[in-house]
Amino acid sequence: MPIKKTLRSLSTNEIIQQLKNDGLVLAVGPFVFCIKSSLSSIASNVQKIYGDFQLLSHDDLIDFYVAIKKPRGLRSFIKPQINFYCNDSSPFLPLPASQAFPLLEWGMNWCIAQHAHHYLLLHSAVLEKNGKSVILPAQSGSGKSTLCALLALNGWRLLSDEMALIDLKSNQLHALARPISLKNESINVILNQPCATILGEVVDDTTKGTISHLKPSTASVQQVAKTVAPFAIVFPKYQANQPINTKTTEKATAFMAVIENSFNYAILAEAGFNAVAQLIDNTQCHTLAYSSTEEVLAFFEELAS
Amino acid sequence: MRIIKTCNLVTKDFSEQVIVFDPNTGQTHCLDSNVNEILNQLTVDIPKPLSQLKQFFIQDCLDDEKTMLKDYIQDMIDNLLQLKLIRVYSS
Repeated sequence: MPIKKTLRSLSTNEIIQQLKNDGLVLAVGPFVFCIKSSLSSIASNVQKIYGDFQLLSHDDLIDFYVAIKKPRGLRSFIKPQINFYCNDSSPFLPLPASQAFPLLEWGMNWCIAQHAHHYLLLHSAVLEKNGKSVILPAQSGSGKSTLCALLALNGWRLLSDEMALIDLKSNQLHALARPISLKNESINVILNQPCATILGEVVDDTTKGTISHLKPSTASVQQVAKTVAPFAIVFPKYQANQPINTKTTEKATAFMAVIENSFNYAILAEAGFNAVAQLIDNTQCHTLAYSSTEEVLAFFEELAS
Repeated sequence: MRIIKTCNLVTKDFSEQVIVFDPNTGQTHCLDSNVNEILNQLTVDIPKPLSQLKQFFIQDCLDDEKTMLKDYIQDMIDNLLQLKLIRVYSS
C-alpha cells in the first residue's frame, strides 16, 4: 500500500508557495479542496491545523477550488478586508482580514453543504468509540462543538464537528474530520483540559464572537475513510449549573428534530425522507442537558460500552 | 362532500404518530397515528363521500360514542384538508 503524503511533509516555505501559486490540494474527508491564498495567517493556520491531512496533486480530481483573497484598491490597505471564493465566485460579503482563517473554514463548510447532495447532511457533530457512533444534532449555541471537542479529547474518534454525512445508499456515516470550531468561553474550557491540545489563531470580534479552531487528532484524520453505521442520536443542550438530565426521545419527535437540523432535506425530497426514516429506525434517540464535564463524559462512556 | 387523497404521499409509522411527506409541497408533517386509518381508507383516484368514511369508523361503536367519534374524525379531516394531504373532490 503506498504511503500517503501529508501536509506535514512540506516545509513552511513550500506551504506558503503552494498556497500563493497553484494552490494546496488537500483531501478533506471524501472531498478534495484546492486552497489558494497569499495571506500569511492562512499559511500559518493551515500548517498548524491541517498537518495530518493527505496532500494530493493537481492531477487528482478536485471538488472545490477555494481562495481567500484581498480585494484590490483601498480595502487592501485601509481596514483591510478579505473575500472567500469558491470556484471563482464569491458567495459572502467581505470580512476583516483578521478573520481570514475562520472565513476559510466557514467557506469550506459552505461548499460541502451547498453541493454534497449525494449525502443526507445534518448540522451535527459525529463521533465514534468502540464501533458505536453518536450523532449530535444541535442549533448554534447549544454547546455542540464544546461537547464534540471534549469527547474528541477523551478517546472518541472525530468524524465531524459541523456536519454528519449520511450516505443515501448505504446509510453509513462518512467522516469529515475537520478542525473543531470553538467559540468564546469554550476556548478556555478546552485549553484547561489535561490532554494536549493544538489550537489555531484566536480571532476576536467575528459574528460568532471569539473563534479558535482545534486541530483534529492524528488518529481521526488517518481513519477518515472508515465509515460507521449510525448507533445513537443525542440532542445536546448545555445548561449551566444543572445536573445531567437524559431522556429517551420518541422516534417521531426525533425524526422531526433531525429534519430541522438538515442542510439538504428539502432538496433531497423523498430520498431525504427515506434516509431519515432509516436513520431513526436504526438508532436510539436521546435528549441530553448537561453542565458537568465528568457527568457528560460518563454518559457517553456508558453509551459506547 | 366527497374527498380524495393527495397523490404520492409517503408515510412512516411510529407507535403514537405518523410522519407524512408530501412531495407535491415538500412539506413533512408529524400527525396522530390515527390519521393513517383515515388515509388508508382513501384513494388518489376514487372520491369517497365523507359520510361513508365516518360510517366506516363508527359502525361498531356504541351510540354514546358515535357523536364523539364523528367530531374527532371531522377534526382530523379538517386538519388534513388544511395541510392539503386530502382535498375535496369537485367534478
